[in-house]
Amino acid sequence: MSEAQIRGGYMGKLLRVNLSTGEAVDEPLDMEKAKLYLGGSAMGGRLLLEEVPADVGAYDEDNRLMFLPGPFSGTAVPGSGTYTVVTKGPLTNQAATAQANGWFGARIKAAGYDGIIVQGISPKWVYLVINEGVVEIRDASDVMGMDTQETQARLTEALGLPKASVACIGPAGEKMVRFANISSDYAHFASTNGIGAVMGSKRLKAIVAHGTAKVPVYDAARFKEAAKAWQKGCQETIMGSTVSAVGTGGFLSPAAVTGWLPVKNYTTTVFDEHAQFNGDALRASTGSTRTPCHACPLHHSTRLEVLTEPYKGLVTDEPEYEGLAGFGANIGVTNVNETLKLCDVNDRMGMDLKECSFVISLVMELYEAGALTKDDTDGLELTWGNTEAVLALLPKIAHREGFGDLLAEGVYRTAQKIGPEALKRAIYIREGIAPHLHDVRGMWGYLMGQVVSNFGSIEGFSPADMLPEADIGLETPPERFTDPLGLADAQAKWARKYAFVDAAGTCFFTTVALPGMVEALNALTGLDLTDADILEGGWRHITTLKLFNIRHGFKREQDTASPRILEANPDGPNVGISVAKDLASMVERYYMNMGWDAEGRPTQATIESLGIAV
Amino acid sequence: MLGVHVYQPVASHLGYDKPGGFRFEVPVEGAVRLADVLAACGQCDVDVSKLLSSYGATCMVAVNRALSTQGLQTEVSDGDEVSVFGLVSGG
Repeated sequence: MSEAQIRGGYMGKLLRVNLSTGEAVDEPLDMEKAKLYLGGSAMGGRLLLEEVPADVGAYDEDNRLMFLPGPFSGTAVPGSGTYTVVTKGPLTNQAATAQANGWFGARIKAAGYDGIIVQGISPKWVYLVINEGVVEIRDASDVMGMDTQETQARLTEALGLPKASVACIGPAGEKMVRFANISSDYAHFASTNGIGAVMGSKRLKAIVAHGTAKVPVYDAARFKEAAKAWQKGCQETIMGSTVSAVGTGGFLSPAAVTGWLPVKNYTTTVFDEHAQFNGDALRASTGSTRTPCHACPLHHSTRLEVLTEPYKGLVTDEPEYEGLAGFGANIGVTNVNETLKLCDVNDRMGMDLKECSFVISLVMELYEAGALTKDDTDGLELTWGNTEAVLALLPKIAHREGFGDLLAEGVYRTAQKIGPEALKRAIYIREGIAPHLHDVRGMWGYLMGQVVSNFGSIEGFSPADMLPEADIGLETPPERFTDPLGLADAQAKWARKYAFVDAAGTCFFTTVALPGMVEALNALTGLDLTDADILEGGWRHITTLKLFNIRHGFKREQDTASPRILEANPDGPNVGISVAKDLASMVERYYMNMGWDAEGRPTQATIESLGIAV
Repeated sequence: MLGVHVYQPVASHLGYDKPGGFRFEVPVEGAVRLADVLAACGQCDVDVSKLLSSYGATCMVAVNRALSTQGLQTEVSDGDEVSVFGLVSGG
């Protein structure tokens, strides 16, 4: 670990807001802690461990809701508008870290802060304004009930701050839907593990951030060169080049062809209509305008106008792959315009679309099987692909009305309430949270990264069985399906690297090889970190979250997947493949690679070697 | 016959900008390298061999819908259906 001190990349203070008392105070950033825990989710995990004891629930006033950019946020490296929300989440009742891109992370820094820590519960609904270092807590009556898009437009207009960024909740967050998310910069969402419900529990409708402060840079000339190389490099990677050209929607056809697209709640992998949903066709069939994130050359964020019926004239932000999959194939919708409409409504309500899609696909499967009837669904005919029924259902979920109130609890709890037939069919991991929108029965790397995750969603990026990653010593991916322990070994390396990426304040899609990112970090901060230091930092970050989760009830048996996910693929190229007999040994091998015991508890030697103060 | 479907955005690097990319069939004998098939197929508007030397690392290949981790170095045979993608991932 570097002996040098941090001399750039940070504004030097955190904002702590106690909504119970109405106090907002500046706190100096502990630079030694910042060096050990580089950036958003890493620092957030550390603060959770220090400040949220075991008896504090997700909705308690002593829970923390933290908005944390990273050292790169607001600088010239690509995709550096990023921030992470960290809290104790209500789906897992363990840590939640959710990253969003856009501009909000850069704007927190420009407003003068390295992060915002919200605690307490306001006696009435409020929003927070942070403008050039001046903080105000304002009455939110005027924006209550508004959707995420209306809220952002209203607040920037009312405040006369058109260049401000707003992070807010929609109706779902106000009603504490257990998978409510936080929307920022209109098209970006910090989504996982019900962080929007935590914001709602604090009666905080929105945060507005604006400012003109510059991020201090230790060595400006060296950093400029490093950022320039990163800008160029990210356009040449397989991830960057694909996302730039066709958006993440460009993963749709590849996923369909390889049997990784979730179709009708995992009842099949066949989706013949995939071509119209794929990013290239989607952009060709609509009017599209690029709306790039802060300092990003990939320009993948795009605004679409629907040019044909149905929903001709709808202007909306281009869904990511997961939206196209979740409100397309997974609920049996075969017309892409209908999917665009459903994504638009879901985003306006402020709900995590993976949880929302899988809870709707669950009740659709049950309805088709006769296990639910119109008497159960408030008269809605929840057959596959019934877009009108889903359009009626989404606001009912967001407002917790009737049948929607049941679904507002998320996949696992909804299935528990319906009964054994639902639990057999439900798609969830870790006893409480839906996976990303892939059919992970044929993607063991993605499955593994989610089953062992301490983040709430996915432990780093985990295509360990699909891609080489030479900078972390993985020249060739392990053989798919036949080398499960090799996959667990590889995943432990991927997790260390991408834990850093998750925290650093840059977009995941702009990731380049470690040496280029480390050079930029050292030029920015004045540190002299090595690649090994960064990987050790990622390991510390994950292990710290694991310690928090253990304190909050983690048990080894939670690191698994639901019965449906453990079933064999029913058809397609991965037919007959099941992870069931290998998953436990993969998880335990991962623990071993992380220096944890067979129950998933970090050993004393690991805790000491990583310098984690407990 | 060997069937090859090149999806976007890889197809655009080979001279085809239309959504959906392009598909062609070509007779082959025995096992052949996919990169060689593309270079020799006469379907591409650019010098494929030059392009692939730089672009080869940035595409993924599935043979009969099963992912190959060898990319364009994958060996394919008569009767195979090959798909060439950008990244196959999440997001």
